[in-house]
Amino acid sequence: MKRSFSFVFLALMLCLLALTGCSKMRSFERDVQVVLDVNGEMTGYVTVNIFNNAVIKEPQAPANTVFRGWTLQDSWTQEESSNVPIIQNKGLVRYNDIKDALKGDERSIVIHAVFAPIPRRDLVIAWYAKESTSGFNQGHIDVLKDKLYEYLRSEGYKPESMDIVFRGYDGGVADTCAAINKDGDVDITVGWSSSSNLTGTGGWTEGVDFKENTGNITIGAKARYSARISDTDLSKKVYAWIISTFGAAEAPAQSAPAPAPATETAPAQAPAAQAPATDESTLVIGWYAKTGTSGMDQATADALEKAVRHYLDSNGHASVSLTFRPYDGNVADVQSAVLADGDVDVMVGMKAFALEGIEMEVQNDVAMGPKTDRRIHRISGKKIAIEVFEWLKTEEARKLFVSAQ
Amino acid sequence: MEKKIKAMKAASVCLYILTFILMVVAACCFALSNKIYFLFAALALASLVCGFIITDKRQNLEPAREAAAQAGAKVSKKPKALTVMCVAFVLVFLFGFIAKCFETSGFSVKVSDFTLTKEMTLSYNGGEINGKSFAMKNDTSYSVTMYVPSTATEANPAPTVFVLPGFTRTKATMAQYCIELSKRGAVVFCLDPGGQGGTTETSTTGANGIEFLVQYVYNNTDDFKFVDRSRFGAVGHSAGGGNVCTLAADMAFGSYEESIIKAVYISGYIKVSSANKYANLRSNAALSYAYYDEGAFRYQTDTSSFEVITRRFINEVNNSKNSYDDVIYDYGYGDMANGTYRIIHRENINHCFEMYDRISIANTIDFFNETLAMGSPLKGTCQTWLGKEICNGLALAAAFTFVISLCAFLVKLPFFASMKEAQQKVMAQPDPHARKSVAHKVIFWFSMIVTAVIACLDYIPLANLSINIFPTGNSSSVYTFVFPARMINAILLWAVINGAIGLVIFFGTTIVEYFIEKARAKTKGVEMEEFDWGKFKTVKICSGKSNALVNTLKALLMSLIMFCSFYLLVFVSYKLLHQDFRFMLVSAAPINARMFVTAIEYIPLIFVFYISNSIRVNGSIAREGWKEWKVLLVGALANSIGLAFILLINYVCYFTQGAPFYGYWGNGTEIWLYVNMVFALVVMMFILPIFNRLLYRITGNVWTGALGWCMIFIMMTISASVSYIPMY
Repeated sequence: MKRSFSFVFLALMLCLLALTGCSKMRSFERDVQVVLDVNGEMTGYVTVNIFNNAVIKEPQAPANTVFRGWTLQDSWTQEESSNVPIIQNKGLVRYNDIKDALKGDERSIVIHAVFAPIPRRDLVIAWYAKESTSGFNQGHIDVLKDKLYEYLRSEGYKPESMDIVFRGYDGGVADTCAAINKDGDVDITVGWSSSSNLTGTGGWTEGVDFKENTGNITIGAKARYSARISDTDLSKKVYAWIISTFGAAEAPAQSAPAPAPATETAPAQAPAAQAPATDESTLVIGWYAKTGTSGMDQATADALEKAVRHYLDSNGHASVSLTFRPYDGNVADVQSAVLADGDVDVMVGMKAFALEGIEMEVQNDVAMGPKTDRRIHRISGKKIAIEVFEWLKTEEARKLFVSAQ
Repeated sequence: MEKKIKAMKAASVCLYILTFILMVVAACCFALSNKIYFLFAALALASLVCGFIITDKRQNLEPAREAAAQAGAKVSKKPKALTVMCVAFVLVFLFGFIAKCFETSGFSVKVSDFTLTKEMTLSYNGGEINGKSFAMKNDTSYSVTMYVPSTATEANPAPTVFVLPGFTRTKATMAQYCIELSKRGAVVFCLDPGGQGGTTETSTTGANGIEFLVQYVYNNTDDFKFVDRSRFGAVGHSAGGGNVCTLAADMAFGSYEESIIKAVYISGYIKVSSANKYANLRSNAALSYAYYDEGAFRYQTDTSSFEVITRRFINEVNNSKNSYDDVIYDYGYGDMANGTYRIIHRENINHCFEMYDRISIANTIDFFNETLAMGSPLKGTCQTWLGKEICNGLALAAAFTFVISLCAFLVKLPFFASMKEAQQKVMAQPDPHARKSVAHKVIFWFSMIVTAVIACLDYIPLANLSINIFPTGNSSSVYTFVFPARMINAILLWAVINGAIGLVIFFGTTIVEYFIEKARAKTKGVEMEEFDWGKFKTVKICSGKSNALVNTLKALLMSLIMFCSFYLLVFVSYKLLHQDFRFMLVSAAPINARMFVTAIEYIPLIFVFYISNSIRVNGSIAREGWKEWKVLLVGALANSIGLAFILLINYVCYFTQGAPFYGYWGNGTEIWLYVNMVFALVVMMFILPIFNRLLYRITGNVWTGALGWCMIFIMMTISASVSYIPMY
């Protein structure tokens, strides 16, 4: 019995010891200071442990390089930079990423930003992989690839032995444009929208980020735009081939120094895609006048027009000419009318609403009168349109849609 | 002397039971980060040592008693089962009554249930709010519990909070929130999500039903005059947290003034899909995520990690972008007056106990107290819900005692007495002083260790296999009659495989041992001693004065009586007092047709494990000639230590590496939730051999206890989990 007592007592003491140990669990958490080294400059530090990661900002890549990520490796040559082992995330440091590099009781470690030269390929074609907007899918790109290879062969190239990349980009216009810039090696894009869209939402600069942009290019299910980004001979040659093969005969190019065309001719498969307005001195807001569906009535439109006018006047845009234009009828009729007018910057009160060849920014679930699911579409990339579109998101503006009635 | 022995025996038994309860309480306090667990653990230790001392003293007196018995003195062999049964019965309702006092905050809150149907959700305003439909599509129903404080009246409408549990949990597991909020003057509604508890809905639409309930309460101005429609809040844990986020976003309607939900508390849920809704919220919001949340290992990228999601939470407010670079926990960002208030909490607890954590509950209460202007002077940390939980736990212990003593009482009746009399031969134990050979000891302990190791190692692979072979798989959208309890399918496979292995080892090692003894005797050139084949006989149901079939039927009848009496107690307790039996993750809730049909599928297969355990405890461990407490302890440990090691492995890894050992399995299947289930399973597996042994000693056969406990435990497990069975 005494022996049993000893064993049981020992077991219980061990249990108590275990519980006591567990209550000190935090001692397992070793805080480690992670210092961020960007090109030899210590730009900051973060602290991590097994239960706490740290968010870090991606450093700005020097010209003609791309930020690959962070590494624990101390040094490497320029040639090695593309093969340096990097940690899992570019914007997050985890204890697990650095623990194996800690020696003994070390509580601090340096991680280094890795910038690699942008790899020079023969040709990189970026395609907009957001199929609902661009009408592109992998099947369309495979067809494009086959045709391109055929063309290159006819021109004396050997495409099979060339470094040609087709790279899909998914997401919003802003995100995809940023990603293309970050990758830095794209020669031609297909599937995005007008120049005003690229400069407005995408944040690009004509002449810098892209050289020319042409509409009515029908490679996928929709007529979209194609932009040339690089100035290489091959890039120019292929771009010209894309325009002549997939574009409408009269499709004019939006060359960098040239102003955007007012109209574009429709391809056989698609209705006319009106290039959105670019005149910053005018602002046209269309509204869906089918009150039963949109919830918008004349009183609301009047109140809204008054408020927008006031906004323009008080924000340094007094010279902007404002037009409020009602559109009635079914959705298809409105779409056709807006396309035909070609100058509408913002459309208010629609829900299902698509303009062939034009990518729009949308505000969902906007309450208008008794309706709660209406939308506001920004059609043009004009700065004034973007500014007013943003203002329409505010509570002050949203109230007008509801309370004017 | 007889009285003294009885008193000592009773005292030692009480002390052992007290030890167990104290250890459970200590473990729970520890899990809840309550440092008082030291006190409970020390008390448990003291209680156990006292029990051993008394047992030892009593055993010293036994020879004298036996001598007296031999001298013709009459010795009462059994305690009076009827007395124990009556006391247990009274205790069930006494503890239930006390629990009700806690639940109703001293009868100041009215607690009632109702069923939400499609017709109800369509009956007011066509099921719409601001032209948006929130009406049920299917002819199913949701089970709802409502807490209405006496202060909530038409003249003084009260703030209202909707509470939603997470995956596999029922509304009863969120009672702590309901109790504490209703005590502070809020009307509270709590709902069983689809496929869980009393709900028959077969989808997760309407944010798992909570949108239908909110719409019904919001539009129904006839029955809910006591709710203040301008002060609605919602809280959910885990998947429930994701659902209340969806609810608040769907009912935001563009502005704080228009938003139906004015305050939302998202607990234990940080998926990117949920974070994408933050910008759409027009209500004050809180996000809490346990510091030791085992599920965090899934979110380790620069778009999904907790650190990134929390930044989005405080920056993506009202469809605009703030520019906070750092997150300060427990700090209120924004303005409560216009619905831009945001606060983030990170409590020192793990995922499955987060909803029982005192600090976590206090954070929730304080959030609603402020954002819904509840005006309660009570501090959030001033909580009484644990009283209900403990009383429900004690009621569960009393209900088990009732069932055991009922069997002891019944077996004395002539009808059942014949069954036990017939078993007297097989119950005969070998001479306790007989020396066991070294080979026997090696085989015995080796088989114990092997079965424990197998039980530890095969649970997770079998959980993964269950995802692949059963129709429900890992999906919450497949409703089927074929093994519909998705999470219990893992236990099913584990139980069948380990039960079968246990039986093979039991019979196999006995035969091997026989041949070893025979070979040893032959080698030594001596005659082999009589081998103990008695352990095989424990399986048998003897004919006695009646015949074997009749006795078998009686054994089965007693199992049924066990099951029915237990669940009758649950039912009556719930009907009279609105109390079921539970302690945190171990619970016995009222059953319905869905659970019953589900259980019928699982019981026959899982029974393999229960009978295997009963045979091994009573036919093997109990024949080692040990004292009874040692038999029970070894049996309990042998059955549970494998599972306990799963937890040990998982959490040692977790606290040293930051990711659980069992996170993903195979080709990336998420299995971490199956480890969470082990917390409840390990408790049941510890108790099971003890209960099987008690029933064997009462009935004389291994079958009654195995079947009875199998039915009760499986039903308990099913009623506390999810069942995707399409029954309405």
